[in-house]
Order: sequence, then C-alpha cells, then structure tokens
Amino acid sequence: MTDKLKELKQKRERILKLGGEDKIKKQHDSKKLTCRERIEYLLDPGSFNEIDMFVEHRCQEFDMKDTFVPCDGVVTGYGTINGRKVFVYAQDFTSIGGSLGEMHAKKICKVLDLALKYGCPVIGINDSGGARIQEGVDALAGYGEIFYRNTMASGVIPQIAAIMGPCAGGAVYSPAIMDFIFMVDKTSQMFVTGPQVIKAVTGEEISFEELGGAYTHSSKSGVAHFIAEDEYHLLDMIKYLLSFIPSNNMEDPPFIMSSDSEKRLVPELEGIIPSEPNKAYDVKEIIYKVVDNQEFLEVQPYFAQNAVVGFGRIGGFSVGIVANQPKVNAGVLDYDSSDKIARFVRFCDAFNIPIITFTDVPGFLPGVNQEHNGIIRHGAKVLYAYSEATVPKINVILRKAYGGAYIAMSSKHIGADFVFAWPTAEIAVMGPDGAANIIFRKEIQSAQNPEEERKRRIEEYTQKFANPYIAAARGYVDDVIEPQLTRNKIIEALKISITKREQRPPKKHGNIPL
Amino acid sequence: MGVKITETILRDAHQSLIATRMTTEQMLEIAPVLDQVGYYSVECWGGATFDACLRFFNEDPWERLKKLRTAFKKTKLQMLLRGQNLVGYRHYSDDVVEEFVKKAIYYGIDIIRIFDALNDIRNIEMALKVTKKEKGHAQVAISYTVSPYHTIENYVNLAKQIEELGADSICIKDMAGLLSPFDAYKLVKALKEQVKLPIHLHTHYTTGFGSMTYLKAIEAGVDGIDTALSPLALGTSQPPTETIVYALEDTEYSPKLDLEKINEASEYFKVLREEYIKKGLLDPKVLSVDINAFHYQIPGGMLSNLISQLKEQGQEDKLDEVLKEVPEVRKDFGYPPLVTPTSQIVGTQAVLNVVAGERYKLVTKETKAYFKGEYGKPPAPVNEEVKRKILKDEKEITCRPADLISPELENAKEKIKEYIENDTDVVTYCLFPQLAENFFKLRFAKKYKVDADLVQGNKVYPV
Repeated sequence: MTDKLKELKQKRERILKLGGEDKIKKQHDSKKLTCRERIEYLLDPGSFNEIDMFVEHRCQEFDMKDTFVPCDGVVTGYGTINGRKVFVYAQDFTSIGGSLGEMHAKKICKVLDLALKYGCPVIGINDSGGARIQEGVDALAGYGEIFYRNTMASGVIPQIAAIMGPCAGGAVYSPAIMDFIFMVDKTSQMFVTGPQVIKAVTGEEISFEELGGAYTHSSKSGVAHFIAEDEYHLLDMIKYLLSFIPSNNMEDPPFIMSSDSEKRLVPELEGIIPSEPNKAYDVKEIIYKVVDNQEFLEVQPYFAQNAVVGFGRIGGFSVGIVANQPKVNAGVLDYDSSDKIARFVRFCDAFNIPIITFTDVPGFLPGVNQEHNGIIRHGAKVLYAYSEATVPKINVILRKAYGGAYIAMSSKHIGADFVFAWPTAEIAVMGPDGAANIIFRKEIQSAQNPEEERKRRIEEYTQKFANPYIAAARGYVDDVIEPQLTRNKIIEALKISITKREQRPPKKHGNIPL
Repeated sequence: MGVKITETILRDAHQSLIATRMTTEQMLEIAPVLDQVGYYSVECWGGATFDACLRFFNEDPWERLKKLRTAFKKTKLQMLLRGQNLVGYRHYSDDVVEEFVKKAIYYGIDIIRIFDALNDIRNIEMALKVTKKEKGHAQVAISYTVSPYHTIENYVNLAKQIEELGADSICIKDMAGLLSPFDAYKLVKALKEQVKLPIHLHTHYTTGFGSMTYLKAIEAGVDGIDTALSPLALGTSQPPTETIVYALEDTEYSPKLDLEKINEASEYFKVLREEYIKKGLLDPKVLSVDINAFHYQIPGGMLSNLISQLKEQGQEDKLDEVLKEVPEVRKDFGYPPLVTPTSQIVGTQAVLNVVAGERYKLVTKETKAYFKGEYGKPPAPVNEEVKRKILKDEKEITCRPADLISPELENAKEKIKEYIENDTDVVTYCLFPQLAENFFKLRFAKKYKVDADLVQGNKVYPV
C-alpha cells in the first residue's frame, strides 16, 4: 500500500508542476496567474474538487507520442463561490500553450455536461494559443462538441467566460455563445483572424491589442461584457456577478435581506432632471439612488453608452436594470444599443430576474449608416425581447417616451406589468415641435406672423400632450408618481408580481430577428 | 543616326514627382503600348522602386520585374543601380552585389546604369564586372555637379577611366538639374571628342534648363537622352518626351518614334495624373521652377530638409547662415556631388556648424564615416585640418570600402530560411532586412493563411 500511495503522490506531484518552472515564471512575468492559482482565488478556500486530473492525450502523430501534457492542458472540477456550487475549467497556458486537443476538449465537455445536469453555473477560464495542429480533426471536433454543449446549456445554467490570455480563431465562439465575457485589460485578446493575415488580405494594419484587446471588445465590438484591470479584479467581478443570478433557470436569483430600508424615500430624484427637455443628465445617478445601498453592476459600461444595462438589488430582489442614457446622444436607440438591451433582457428573462426599465428616449437614431446597418433588424430585437420576456417587467418613464422607441422600451403595449410615469414624462406620438408643425401646418402657413404662430402652437401642443396624463387616462400608464416614491413603488410592484406566471404558446423557439 | 530616347515614366519620373507610388498594375496596363513606341530603352526598375514595392505596396519587386519583362516584348529594360549600394542606402558585400546584378539581368534587365554619389570608380567596379559577365549592357553614370574641382578636364579623365574599365556607355547624370545648356554643349563635345563610348545625358527640370540643355547636348552630339511622357514630366522630373520628339521631327536627330503610340500612352497617363493629384500624391509645388537649386547649389529636396532641421532646433532665422555654410562644408568635404546620401551628410553638418557656433564642434557619425573614407574617396582633396579635428587618432580607410565587408548572403539565408520561396528572397533580405521580413511574413500569411506571430513552438495555432 505504501508503494501505491507513493506512486499516486509522485504522479500527482508531476501533474501539479504544470508546464514547468520556466513556463510558470514566464506566465507570472506577463502578469498572468497560472490556471491553478486562478481557480484557487476564484473558489471558496479548500472547496475545489478536481476531476480528470489524470487524463492524457492519445495522439501518436508527429512529436505528440513523446509529449506529456499535465491534465492535457486544462484543469477542471467543481467547488463553491460564496457557498454556491459552480463548475469550473481553466486552460493551462504553461502546458504547450494551453492548446486544445481531443482529450482537453473532452474534459471541458464533461464539466459542461455535469454543470447542466446538476444545474450549476459554469466558469470557463480561457488561456490558449489555439488547437493542437498535430491532433488535426480531433482537435477541431473538440471545439464543435464544446460549442454544442454551450448551446444546450444556454438559458439553463449561467455560463461565464473569463478570457485571461489569447483566445483566437474558432476558440472565440465558445465564449461568444456563453452569457458573459470578462477580459483583462492588456493581457487578453480575442479575434478570429490575426493581424498579419488581415494585413496580407485587406492591407489594414493593426496591433493585437487594438484588434482584439479588452478595451476594443468592451468599447467597439461589444463582444466583452466586463473589462478588468488585472486578473484578481476579474475574478472578483465574476463572484460579484454571480451574487445577482440564480444557479439555473429553475431557481430564483438569491434574495438578500437588505440593510437599505424598503421605506426609504428618495427626494434627491426630484433634482436630477433638468427643467429644459433637451438638457442632458446622467441616468446612472437615478439608478444609484434607487437601488439598495447604491450597488449597481453595470454590464458593457463602455459599449453603446446611450443605453445602460446592469444588475442591482431593490428591496433585496435581484433585478436587471435597463435605461436610456440622455447623457450620450440623448439616449437614442441605435443598432448597437438595441443589441445591448435585447441581449440583456433575454438573459434576465431566461434566469427569472425581473426587469426594471427607466425610459427617457427621443426615438431611433436617424441616418444612412443606421438604416444600412439594419436599425430595423436590430431595433426589432428590443421589441421582441421585451415582448417575449415573462419575468416581472416594471417601467418608470422619466421624461421622453416618443413614438416607436416608446413602444420598444418596455411599454404597456408589449407586456409591461407596471408602468409608472414621473410628472415630467412626455408620452407622445412624437416630439412636440414636430407634432405641432404637422397638426397646425395650415394655421402656421396662413398666419400673419408664422414664426410667432409656430412658437405658440408648439407651446399649445406641449401643454396639451407632452405629459403623462393622456397615456394615464387610457391606462397605458398605471400611475403617475412623485419621483421620491420611485423606489417604494418598484419594491411594491416587485412584491406583488414576483409570483407572476405567464404561459407562452408551445413552440420550439421563436425566431428573433438577428 | 537619331537620338536615342530612354523613357523614364516607369521609374525616375514617378519617383521624382509622386514618391515612387506608381503601381505595377498601372505600369502593366500601358506596357504593350510603350513597347510599340520604339524607345531605345525604358527605365522601369531600380532606384527607389525596389524599396517602394516592399514598403508601400507589399509587393515583391522581382515579381514586378518579371511581369514587366513579359509585357515588354521588344524594348530594352533599363534600371538604375547605386553602385555598391545597389538599390539600398549602404555598401553591400561583393557577394550580394554579384547575386543582385546576376538576378536582375536574368529576370529581364538589359541595361544597368551604375553610379556612385562620389564618382568613386571603386564603388562601381564590382557591379560593372558582373553586368559584363552576365552579358548585360553596363552604362556607367557620372554624378554631375558644379565646383572648382569639377572641370571639363576632370570629367573627361573620369570618363576615360570608365572607358578603360570596360563600360558599354557613359551617362552624365545631372540629378539636380545643374547642367546649364551651354555647359552641356561644352561637356558633351569634350567627351565625344576624347571618349569612344556612346554618351547619354540625364537631367531633371528642377531649374528649368531641361529641354534647352538637351537641345544643346544634341547639337554637341549626345547619343541618348532621358525623357518622361508629359503627364509626369517637368519640375523635378525629366523634360517631356513629346516636346523633344516633336522638336526633333524631320531633323537628322529625329529618334523616329511612333507618335500615335506616344499619344495613346500620354492619354493613359493623363488620367493617372489626375488621380495622383486628387489623392494628393502629386503636389504642384514639385512642378515649379527652382532656380535657387542652381544659385545655392542645393537641390530642392535638400533645402526643405534644412528648413525642417532648423525648425526642430527652433532656429529658423539661421537659414541664411546655413545656406552660406553649405558651400563651405562642401568645400571641406572635397566637393562631393550633392545627392543621397551626401546631400544629407553635408546639409546636416552645415546646420550643426551654424547651430553650435563653431565649425565641426559637433559632428554626426555620418560625417565621421565620410572622412574615414567609408563612403569612398571624395572627388577633390578634403580639408586636412578639418579631417584631423574630426578623426583625431582614428585611422582612415584607403582601400575600397566594400573590401571591409564580409560576405552576407549565407548569413541572411540562415535567418530567413523558413520564408524562402524564390531564388531572389535572400538578396532582397540582404538589401532591406526589416522590410523584407515583414513582406515575407505577409506573403506567408496570404499564401498559407497562417499568422506566423500566432504559431507557438509546439505546433499550436488558432483554427
């Protein structure tokens, strides 16, 4: 027995050395932790249970038959984060570049299968130079099997991808199918085709970082949802995100008794919106004042900033918050912000997270660029996502709610449970300036002084229609409220609607405009 | 016998006017027409075009040569070679020179015009020898300049040396447009009388002398001249082909070219010219007459360099002083013709002399190398006092500079082994290591769709 135990110990020790001291040093020198250090930091102390530690590749081609790859380049297992079960896999860049081969992929697939079966979130830590070309089509098959499982698990368990090194070529599509992508500033990159091939094919010159770094994907492409300063920051953010979401689609998100009183009035809200309707303000000020303890985890904070989405708690309930941001381009809806809102709404719906919307939207962004990039197709996603969602939907109309954009932003007409309006709300078919010019066109044309007449008519229209009462008169708005009551009203609405059950006609799946 | 016309629109004309940005496609489209004109030769390769192919077009300059050779069925192709510098900016080893010239002739060059900035024959020897061995036409160019040393007698002596060396023809290379019409007459006349080789003349229109200079040279019996089709002629480029050809019509000098084909080609380049102007490649400034170049003996390109150098030092008001200093420095340097790289070395030194307030208190490493003899032998004796001040105890080189350079080909081959696809890749790499490596990597990326930077040692790659 002693010998056997010794053998086990030896085998294990060899595996725990990863790719060797040199490679580990190199990893540390490039401001990266090893796969095992990452898992250790992410999970509750001592909670990690490794599986498939002794898995080895079976490739006999080229130099592979003499190559030993500890864990076949990926450490997998389960543990807890703040006491909640999670599955995790972390690629080991120190062992032949964290490359993916047949068995490496099989280990990831096993973890995904188990996470799906047990209803646990899965966190994938990506740090891989790509496929093991020696393993040929087996490596390729591995990617496919991972993509398939990511898709099967989508909407059943939360899937979180941490990009903590290179992630290129087809490998990017696993994170892309998952729910959230975290990237580390300067040390992680994602792209399908590298800079050299791009230059050779199109002549465009670009660095790795500019092409697929964390900042690029956080601000331009919208591929990444979170950008972290360093690896510890990234892992901390994952833990924080998990606190808002349930372990699977059959559970409710964690409810936390809040130290922030349910009865707290928020009189400060009355001073945020400027009296001139065209003046900007920061909608995040409103969000921070409404949520519990000013805690708000913004998703995609640097992408399509004319919309704000993220997680918070209100009265202890975990909620998804969607808002137009008047500070950026007047909070208009364009193709990027539409995508941002729609994907977020669908995540919340999939995981039973009520959606709170703060509306102040002047419309859809005009422009050839918008039209030709499919604002029709993208704007439709917002309508579709809200209409489809069966979680409690609560909308607070702060100011502008014009035209089609009003309909899209969680209006009563597409299934909102509760729509509140502040007295400053202007719910109308279009902005008063435009509407007055159409309705009173004749009067303006025939007036002695058309300029004066126009001014007067706009004033008249504003007085009459640019307010919440016409919509409230028809029940499109459930209540017009004092801003300071916003938090209470949302909490009460959440309490009453949390038991909401709404059925949809049976179908395989809808056909969301993509 | 009519005058031989060398058409420069595919090389010097676009190098001089639009920073060498004419593309291979633009050349190939009109090549069959140019081939029918009846030119003595078409200059289409060498000079800065090699560099530009790699740098701006991400294109193998040798591929361009091969394509041009296929397109030109009967016209001789000509290139410009900077002696031991080949088409680069430093002296290369003899094995590189040999390989380059060999391949240039093998892939289609008929006439190689070889020059050296200092007219140091030793920097020309090797290229000339290989050209002859490979059965190419070796035309040796004399860099023309004006100085007390540069007398007709000295030029004739130089030409005689060139003749003895075995050149097939001689070209007077007046890169700054300094050759005035009557001086041209005297120079050509003297050369024709004392040298048997055909004499060609190459000038630029910078000072506005161009056509007049050619006319006088023709009267003196010059055998060939360089012209550019009018859309890319004049200014810092050559005199217009059309004008010269029409002027010589029905005279004994008529080159007897096909006027219709010239017209057709000219129309083609007119369209391109508009495109170059629209893109900002052709700045009308380069088309104006700059008699200062003659007055100060400072080429136009050098003047703007001086101004920007002074600006950097915040001493723009010193320009007059610097303009007066340049001839002094040039005298101390032994009257080198001012052309790359000597124009930069002399210009920068003049600026330093003025800015420092004391001559040669500050010297660049290029000035030092120049006095050491690393560029070759200056035309006239240098100022010994200055030389001592600069070199101090350091020894100067008296041998041919390239004798001190060990063979480079093998080493280069080792370095780029994995990228070699053609028999010209190694020599390309020797000339421009960085540009070539980038180019090879991109060629590799394009051909195999593999990003070499992403390939990990252990056969790992994103798929």
